[in-house]
Amino acid sequence: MTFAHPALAWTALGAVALPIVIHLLFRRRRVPLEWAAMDLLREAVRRTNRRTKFEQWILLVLRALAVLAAGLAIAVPMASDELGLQDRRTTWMVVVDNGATSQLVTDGESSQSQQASRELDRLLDEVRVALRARGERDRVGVMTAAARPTVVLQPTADMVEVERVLSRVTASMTPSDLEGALRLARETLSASEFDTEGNEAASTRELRKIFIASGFRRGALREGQVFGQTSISVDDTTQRATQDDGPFLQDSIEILATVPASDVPTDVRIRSLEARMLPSGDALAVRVVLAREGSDVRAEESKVGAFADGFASSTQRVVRWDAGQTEATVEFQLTQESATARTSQAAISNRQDQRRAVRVELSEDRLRPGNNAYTIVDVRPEIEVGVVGRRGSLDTADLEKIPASLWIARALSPMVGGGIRVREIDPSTLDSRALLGLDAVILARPDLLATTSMETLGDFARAGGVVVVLPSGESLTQSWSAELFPRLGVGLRFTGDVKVLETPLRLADEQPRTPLLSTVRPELDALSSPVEANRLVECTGFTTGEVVLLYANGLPLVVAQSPRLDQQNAVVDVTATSKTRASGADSEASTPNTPTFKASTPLDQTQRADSRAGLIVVLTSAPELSWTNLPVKPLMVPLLQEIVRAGLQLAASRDEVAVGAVIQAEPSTTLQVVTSPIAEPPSGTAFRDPSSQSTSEATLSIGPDGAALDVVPVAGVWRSENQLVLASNVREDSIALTPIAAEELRAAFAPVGGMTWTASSENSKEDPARMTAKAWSLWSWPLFVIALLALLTEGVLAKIFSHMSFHRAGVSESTVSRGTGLRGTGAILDRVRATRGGAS
Amino acid sequence: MTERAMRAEQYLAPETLGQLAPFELRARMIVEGVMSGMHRSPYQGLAVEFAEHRQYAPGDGIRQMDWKVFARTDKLYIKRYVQETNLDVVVLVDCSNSMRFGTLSMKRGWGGTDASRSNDRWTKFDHATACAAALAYVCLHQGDRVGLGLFDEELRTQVKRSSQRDQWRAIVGALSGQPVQRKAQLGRSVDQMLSRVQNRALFVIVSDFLMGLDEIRTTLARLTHRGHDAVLLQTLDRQELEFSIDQPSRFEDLEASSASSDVAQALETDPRAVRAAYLELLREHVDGINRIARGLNADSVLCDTHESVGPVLASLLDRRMHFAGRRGG
Repeated sequence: MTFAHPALAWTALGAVALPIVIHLLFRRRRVPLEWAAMDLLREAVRRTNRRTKFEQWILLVLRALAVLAAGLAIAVPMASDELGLQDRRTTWMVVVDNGATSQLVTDGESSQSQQASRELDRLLDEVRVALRARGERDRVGVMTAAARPTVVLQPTADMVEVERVLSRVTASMTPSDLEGALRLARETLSASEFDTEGNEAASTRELRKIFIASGFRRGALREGQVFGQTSISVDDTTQRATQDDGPFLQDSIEILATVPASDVPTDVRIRSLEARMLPSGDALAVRVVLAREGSDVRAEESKVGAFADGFASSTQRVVRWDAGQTEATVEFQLTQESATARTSQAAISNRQDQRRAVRVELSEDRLRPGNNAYTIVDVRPEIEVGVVGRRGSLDTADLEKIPASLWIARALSPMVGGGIRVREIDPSTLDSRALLGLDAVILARPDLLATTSMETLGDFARAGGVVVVLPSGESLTQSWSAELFPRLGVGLRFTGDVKVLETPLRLADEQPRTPLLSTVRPELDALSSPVEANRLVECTGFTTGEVVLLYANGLPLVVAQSPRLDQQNAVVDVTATSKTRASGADSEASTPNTPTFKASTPLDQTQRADSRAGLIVVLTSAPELSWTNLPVKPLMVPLLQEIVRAGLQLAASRDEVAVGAVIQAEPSTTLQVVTSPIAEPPSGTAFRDPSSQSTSEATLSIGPDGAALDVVPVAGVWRSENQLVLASNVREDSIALTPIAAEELRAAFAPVGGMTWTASSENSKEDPARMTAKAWSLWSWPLFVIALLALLTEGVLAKIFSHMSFHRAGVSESTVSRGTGLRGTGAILDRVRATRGGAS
Repeated sequence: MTERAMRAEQYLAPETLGQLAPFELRARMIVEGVMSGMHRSPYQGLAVEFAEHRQYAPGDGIRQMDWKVFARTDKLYIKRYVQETNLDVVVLVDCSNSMRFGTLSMKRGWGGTDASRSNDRWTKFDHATACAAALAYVCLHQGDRVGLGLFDEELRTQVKRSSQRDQWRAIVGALSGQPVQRKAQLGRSVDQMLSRVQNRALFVIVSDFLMGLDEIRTTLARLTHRGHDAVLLQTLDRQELEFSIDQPSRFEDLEASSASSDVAQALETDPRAVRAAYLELLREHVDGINRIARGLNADSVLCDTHESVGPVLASLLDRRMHFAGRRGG
């Protein structure tokens, strides 16, 4: 049996001796007394000895029982099935949540100080306190819960080794994976059930406990997450990803956990980072969105700086937060250094050479993860776009006959030196050679494409290119879509023939917020309002998050979708980090018709770290005047140019992964964090953090199957031997500091048999609510009742024995109340007094 | 005034004498005496005062036959007469170690004995000597001869019977100077005294009588068999009567010798637990003594050492005078 307060249990056990000690002390204190009537006394003792001893034994046992039961009740024995199984030993699996939130500085303003006490230190202290309650034969194992959960010490009885391992646990930058940790703990405990010869008999004498030391902040557990119900599998028809797993913790493993944190410290983190070259080609625009969290968001200042390879460092920007303000945007413009600009012009054909890492750094605060963000930006000054269509001339006399390809070419390159160069490609000649050097391809006549050309386009897209697909303006049937879209790797489909509308269809008044058109976002509603369509094609196979422009009836005009690397294998491709970060919510995960995790954990996430991932943009109305008035409206130029520019940037920034994710990349390669040439801040600024040096040595190995052997451990820029460049960032939701409500945690743990809080004494003093959270053992009340009954019985029996003694002595209550002693005495004395009275 | 004289005065406090003065000590039985006194003589034929008729038995003298009664009733009766004589009183005081027990704190002017000097408590022996001195004084005052014996294992000190004026001081001197020690052997001591008393006497035995009832019965029977009258004055301390000790104690036998075996007989117990049984045994013991005394035509009186001597003795004298009056009636 285990106790919440073992020291009290031992005290209670010791207190059993108290009545006996008192008895012995009284024996020693017996005063010597000379006595004359010894024969009478001896005879009296002889007569009463047996009965008295029996009565005293009963009273002594009852007193000891009362003390013992009360002591044990106060010691709070844990309700479990171990009653009578004291000879069992317990195997503890300590799960230390060293996820990103455990880096929270609990007693200082900044994590910059090496002496700052972090939440991890507090959790480790609570582990040490909890382990004091273990039995001598117990074994203790240690594992970390940050993705990916790792057993750092197999169960052992060597507490010195346990302490050594605990002292070496460090806070990770990866998110917490409590569910994965629970699974691993269970597997480790199950494996430890068997002895060296594989006999299961050892488990019959062994109890198993999992102790979770976590602050239980929101970053450690998704809202509504319930343990033991994770299931991921992919339905071919719906493309929905679900994962099914077997029974989880169905056996008798007791789960103990530290009490959730109660504070919400104020912390500023980088919510999103966007960077793109300005059309002038000599400057980089960096847009940073900062978010602030905390229970007391007061007026304060934060410093932020932006750095990029080949660009002059920005001056520090000071963000002055108003009280209650939770979001702020900072924009930088980094000027390209002259030498770098010349190099860029010369190396225009090599896309990898044009990718630059951008870093934004926030001044240190209470939580370091989230203070750095990285992205990759394509810095080429000129973009080359191929327009696939029949050649035609601009005949101003009959505008309705101008083909879409011509409108597009004019929209992309309205002037010389606009930064986009257009190359016309005949559909019949579209092959890999024709696509060489192109950044984007616009399919104005997809109906004329051969199958091989379609496959070439698919390769182009997967290689990181942007493919814009338009309906064929000269055909009412769009049957080509069934062949083209699968080859492009998207789930989009055109259904039915072209719809000819009797009344023109206007664009919706409120357009979705997508990163593709973020630059023109302020003017988008005004630009889109005059646009009308007479014809359109209905499209399926997209999510609402992938719609760029909408008609008033809800049908899409522009849809953007990422191509999948291998649709048959259905590798789950988590929505791009940058997209999630930019939108600030993962609403896409809940929308239908997209591969999503039902209840994914960081451990389950697989991200493609593949620079070939491009973008497919589909328009449902051909930009011809017979279809829509878009070509002659102001929206045409910014729409096409942004689709190409932002599309390329999105395709590049798709090389961002989340810290804690498992990436897929070229097999058998090694990635290393790049600290240089990313511009380091000047020494002496607020950004320098000596403790961050350790991240510069991080490496990531890709296995032969293309999957990384470990999760992305830190935020930074990664580069492989073959010039693959990746940016990794901390997910904002993984560093949310809001404590999880006790009810939500109970609901999360309910399927795995529930859990018991263990409150440290210090915390109990601080927060009375924590005291109520402490589970009251089922044994305590019965023990209290037993103690009470023992006391009552002792009192009653003592009274009865006393009355019996009086009765035997012939004493009446009245005699006693007079204080004259026993009736027998009274009789003798009365005789004396009667003799005296007779004389008077 | 000598120290002994002063002690003697203290033994008989004025209030004790005041309570005893109205009474005279009378022997319940007819006492043989050489002096004519207030006590009735067994030599009935010599006196003129008619006592009673008794049915004739073979061997009775013809001279004592009441012929008038024979003439009226045709039955043979003998006339009996009484004669008042002087009384011999022998006071036997127990000076064994058990008499050393006492719980009443001494007050100034109470005198003292060997037993009370060591612990400054009014012991049973103090009480016994006070009773003995008072009785002796009363008897001497009415002209009786009084003798004293102090005994433990045997008769230790003896004051021969006398009715002279300085007899009382001699008795008091013997009482106050007697060391208290050893065990009590009542039978042996009484036998030693009997060997020295030829005539009939009133034996007053002052003791705690914490010995076996058989010994008491045997001793008393031996006395009465020889025609002596007996009064048993049982002196017990209030604590012995109440046993109101309320803490566990280690009881050591007062009469234990220094031998290790006796020391080992010390008893550790909680008095509250055994109180009932003890008092029951004590009551049986006291009742047993009373029964024995009644059966052998003797008197027994229980004295509480915390009570005054006077009232107890006064009641004893009153009872005996009342009995004598009825007999004389």
